[in-house]
Amino acid sequence: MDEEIFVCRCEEVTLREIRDAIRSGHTTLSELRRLLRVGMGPCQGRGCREIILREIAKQTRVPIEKLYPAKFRPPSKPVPMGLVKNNGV
Amino acid sequence: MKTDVLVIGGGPAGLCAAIEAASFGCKVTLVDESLALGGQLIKQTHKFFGSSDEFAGIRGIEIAKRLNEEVNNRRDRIEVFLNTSAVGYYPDEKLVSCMTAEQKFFTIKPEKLVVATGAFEKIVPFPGNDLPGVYGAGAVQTLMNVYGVVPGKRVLMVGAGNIGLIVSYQLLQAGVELAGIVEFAPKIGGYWVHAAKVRRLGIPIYLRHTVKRALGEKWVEGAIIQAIDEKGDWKGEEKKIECDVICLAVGLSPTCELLWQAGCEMEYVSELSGYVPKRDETMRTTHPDIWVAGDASGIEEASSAMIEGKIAGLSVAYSLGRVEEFFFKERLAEFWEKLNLLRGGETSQKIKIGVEKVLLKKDDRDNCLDIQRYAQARSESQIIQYDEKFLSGVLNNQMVESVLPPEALWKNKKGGLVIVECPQTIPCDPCHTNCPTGAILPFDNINDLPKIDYSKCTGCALCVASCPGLACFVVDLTYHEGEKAILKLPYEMLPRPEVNQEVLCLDREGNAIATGKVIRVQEPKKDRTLVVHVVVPRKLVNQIRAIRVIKNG
Repeated sequence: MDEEIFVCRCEEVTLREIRDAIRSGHTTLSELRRLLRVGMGPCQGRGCREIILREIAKQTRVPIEKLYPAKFRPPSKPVPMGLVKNNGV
Repeated sequence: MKTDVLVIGGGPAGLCAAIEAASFGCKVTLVDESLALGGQLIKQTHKFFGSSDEFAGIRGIEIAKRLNEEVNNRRDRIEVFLNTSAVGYYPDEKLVSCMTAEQKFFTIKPEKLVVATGAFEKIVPFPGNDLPGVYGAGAVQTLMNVYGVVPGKRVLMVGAGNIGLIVSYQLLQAGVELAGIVEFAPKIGGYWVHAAKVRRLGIPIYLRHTVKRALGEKWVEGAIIQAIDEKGDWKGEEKKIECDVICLAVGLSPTCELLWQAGCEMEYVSELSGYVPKRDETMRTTHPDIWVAGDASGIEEASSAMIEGKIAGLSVAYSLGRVEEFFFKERLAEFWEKLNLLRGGETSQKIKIGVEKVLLKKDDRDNCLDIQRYAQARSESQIIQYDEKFLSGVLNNQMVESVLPPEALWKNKKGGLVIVECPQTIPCDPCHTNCPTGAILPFDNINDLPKIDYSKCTGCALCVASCPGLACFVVDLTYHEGEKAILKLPYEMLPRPEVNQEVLCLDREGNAIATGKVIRVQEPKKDRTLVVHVVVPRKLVNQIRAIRVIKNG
């Protein structure tokens, strides 16, 4: 039933894909982001970050408090490239 | 552009921070991603709890208006950017990048920054959670209370915290059917009185239950719920719920991307519902130029968010040299006293534990105020452990006895006597502050349960009109006609009952147990809470707690 559950709705990643990846050794959110693109869509992981961290915590038996939620980089919301080009930072 | 103070987020915390900082002469820039200031307040049609010195008894939407006015009165010092998101913090340059309406991209370089970015909704994974018809509670509130659109015909609410309970009540007010509320925990998480309000309108709360999957191909056509045991495993039979909307009110997470980007020390604190920044008693994070306030510092109530906002605004002004040290310390202490009072009730115990985990103490920093000295609020918690009925918002028989007035005085008292069904220590005092005769005694601590001097009660029902939890009732046993009595109860539904109309009388679980006749309809506070006087069978006065207008035809 796991395959029907979308955890990352932006990038359409399912609970099964995430569980499989953790099981095969990708036990940090950074790795999962690179591998599956979870949390890399428009909402930047707001919806799925905690669910994924809980899955990692469950499988690795490391409490969620001790896990690192991956690097946060600007922009935290999609910005059209044209705007940045015209205004610069 | 440059500014003294940049406040990110125009909800209760951000507005209060901006107003406070501006009142000391700081030049403030306030950015908010919505089209109007107020944050979630603009969707809150219910009356707030807390102290009457602040905003208790006033609807959230009204509080938003008042804060907006205060901002407008200071427009010479507060510049507002609406429809504008702060999307990045660049620590080396101390720059905040902003975007307005996906059309304009610009940067702000503030001397000091207050992050009051609020929260976002958690979701729960279950099969079918991507179907149209699965909503977050915030979306449902926005649809209904901002745009006047109902989300569907029949709703299953997931979560019985304050948001789940309040939105359930609002759905009923909007005329939407509610199939029930499922709650993962063995007791409701929100205020007991909020649960009682929906229970007496016939809405079941399934404790230790959750949604197992959504039904339907193209949209939600139902839901399967099931009980769970102590370990969180499925238990018992599946139950099918007829609904076209599944509304998720399973909690919020603090929005703190910018704080991470700024390099603030963060910690996952389950009591505060997620990652939050470490902060001192002035709400300053480990970054010397960044403060935090409101839900971004940990999920709590809007009433405490407003005080945190004031603390941050005051402290920012102090750090810019706009406030004398003596005055600063005095005012800071005052704010902490209020904050500790708000956190003094049983539902706030976990907040206190959570804050303790991330509060930077005197040992960590210099010049800190000893807030423990001001933590005078009750520390002993009075967690009530009763039966399942009580834990889902229904008084059990033994407790009903304990809230009734003394029989001898009651039976001959013209006008009746008050009954207050408020069994949980929460910060709230409008029943006392609105009592014109002093019958509802002053609170030593606003978290105390109301105490009543029945000899002074005239049955005027001003408490009925002003209680944010709709937990006050008046029963007059002196009605002249035979086996009848008058019940004065609060009413916030449609249609408005008319004098001489027959209405259904509902008990605490929403069962229609009698019919009654409306003899008077008042609106004492002119705030859309009606007090309806209904003639009901005398023997049922201790059971009837709501009415339903019988629809014609």
